[in-house]
Amino acid sequence: MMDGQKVDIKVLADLARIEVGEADMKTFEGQIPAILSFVARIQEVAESGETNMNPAHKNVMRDDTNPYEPGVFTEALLDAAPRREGDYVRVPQVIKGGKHT
Amino acid sequence: MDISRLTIEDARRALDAKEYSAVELAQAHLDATKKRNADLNAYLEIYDDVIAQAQAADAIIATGKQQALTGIPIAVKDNILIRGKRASSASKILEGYVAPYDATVIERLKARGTVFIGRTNMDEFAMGSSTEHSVFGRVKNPIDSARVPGGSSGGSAAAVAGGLAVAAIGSDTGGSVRQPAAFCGLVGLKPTYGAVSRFGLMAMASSLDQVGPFARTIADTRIIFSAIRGHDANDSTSLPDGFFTGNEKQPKTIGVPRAFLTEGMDSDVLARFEEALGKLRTEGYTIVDIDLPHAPYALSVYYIIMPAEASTNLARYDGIRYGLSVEGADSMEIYRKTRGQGFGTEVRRRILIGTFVLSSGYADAYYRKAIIVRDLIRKDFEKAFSQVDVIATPTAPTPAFRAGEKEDPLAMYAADIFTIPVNLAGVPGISVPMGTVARDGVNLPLGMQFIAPHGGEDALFTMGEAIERVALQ
Repeated sequence: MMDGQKVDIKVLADLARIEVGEADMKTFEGQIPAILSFVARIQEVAESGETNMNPAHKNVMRDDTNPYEPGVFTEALLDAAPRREGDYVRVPQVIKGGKHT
Repeated sequence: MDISRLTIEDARRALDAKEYSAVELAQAHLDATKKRNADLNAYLEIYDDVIAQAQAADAIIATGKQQALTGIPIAVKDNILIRGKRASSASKILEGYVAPYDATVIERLKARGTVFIGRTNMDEFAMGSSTEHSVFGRVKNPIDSARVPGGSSGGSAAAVAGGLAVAAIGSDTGGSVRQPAAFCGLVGLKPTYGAVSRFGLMAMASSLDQVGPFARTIADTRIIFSAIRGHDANDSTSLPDGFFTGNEKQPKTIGVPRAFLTEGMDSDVLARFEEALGKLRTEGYTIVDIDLPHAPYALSVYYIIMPAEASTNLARYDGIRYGLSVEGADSMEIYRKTRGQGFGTEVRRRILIGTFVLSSGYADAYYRKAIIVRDLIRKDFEKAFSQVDVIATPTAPTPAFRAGEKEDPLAMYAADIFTIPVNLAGVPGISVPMGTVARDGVNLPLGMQFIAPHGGEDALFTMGEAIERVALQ
């Protein structure tokens, strides 16, 4: 971490969608800046290299065809979902009624 | 039947000679787990169909169509999917999750009639170097129960070292097979990136993860590696099958990055390492000093890239699709509560670090710079391999440490200082037992790590066999 920079753990926890209790928040506020200043050592040498524009691995896509019969994995995958309704995963209502603000 | 040091090769001979059946061999392992597993905590679950699996193996043996692994009892890390079995990555967030399909490595082992004894304990989501970060409690080192077995594949290592399996499968993102192999006196292999399919392995850091075997000998390691490796269309990083041919050159020159072997280095470990090198010299190998100038930055690079990738990969555990789901008023509250209560401290710590290094305003200073330095490390290896056939280091700077000894995360991270550069470069590495050091009256095993260029697993096996030979002298 750049010197004197403060890390707002609460903001990170919000971005990461993780609820962090008060005790853990204290622990993380001590540890995470220490870890970030340790890893910031790379800035000593990063200037001597350049971004590799030709990575060894490329993204590989499968052929744009159906690799299997539709529906063969439906039961197995839906079985894993905590809440199910028919052949759908059930989630709480996303768009609420009332005026959009 | 003494199974405590049984090898795959010996078991194969005995099974084929009908000295005992696969069912008897499996039963002997089940008996051993009854005696020892409650204490070691190596297995999270012993499967209820072990005898049925062994009966199927006996049926194959009766037809004479057995292969090297038919009827061999092995242990599988809890982050690798076996269809119809639970898989949890030792996390609360995957409570009750049952694997809907077989990982490719499992498919390959099943096709050979391998017997799966159970799933092994690990650091939650493979994040740790001691197997203390499991929601199901720590694993004990079978050699000294006050000490850790290493991690994150500590349950797999303890199962083999404790005589509860003939061999095991683990995963290695920064040393999670090699370091526990070293701490438990086993051989552990991290194959070339792309050699073994990760389809069905729970992703942690996708540019680093590889599946690898634990075994008691190099010969056994070779048997498992040749069974699990191979191209797989379901893993986009999988190498073509032809990649490994033409790499059979016999290694003659060993490079030692002496300047790198300093930080946190235990002097007894270094002395054993030098002794082993001396023996290799008398075997006709040439030992030369090499320089890996950017290797000292590997730990820092790793603790940017790994959390960045892990924070992305673990976004899928949200309380909607699998496992634990804590009730909430809306989707956001379900995500936040499920992830807050379902992930352990180390996992949350790494997700938060990953979120930081990828966040707007910091990604350039951290993540993108780490990619650049990773490339410098990769080039260090390329340059070294233009001068030497293999590189040797101790696998870890110390022998197995005491449970609870490393509470500071940075101290724990340093346990992987010699194994992490190997994952960053994508090259293969192996840990082979290289003698012991006495601590508190117990002889603790140590590992010697050999590193080869991409696809150079054969050279690693040759070096491992050389160490096995000189150890017998």
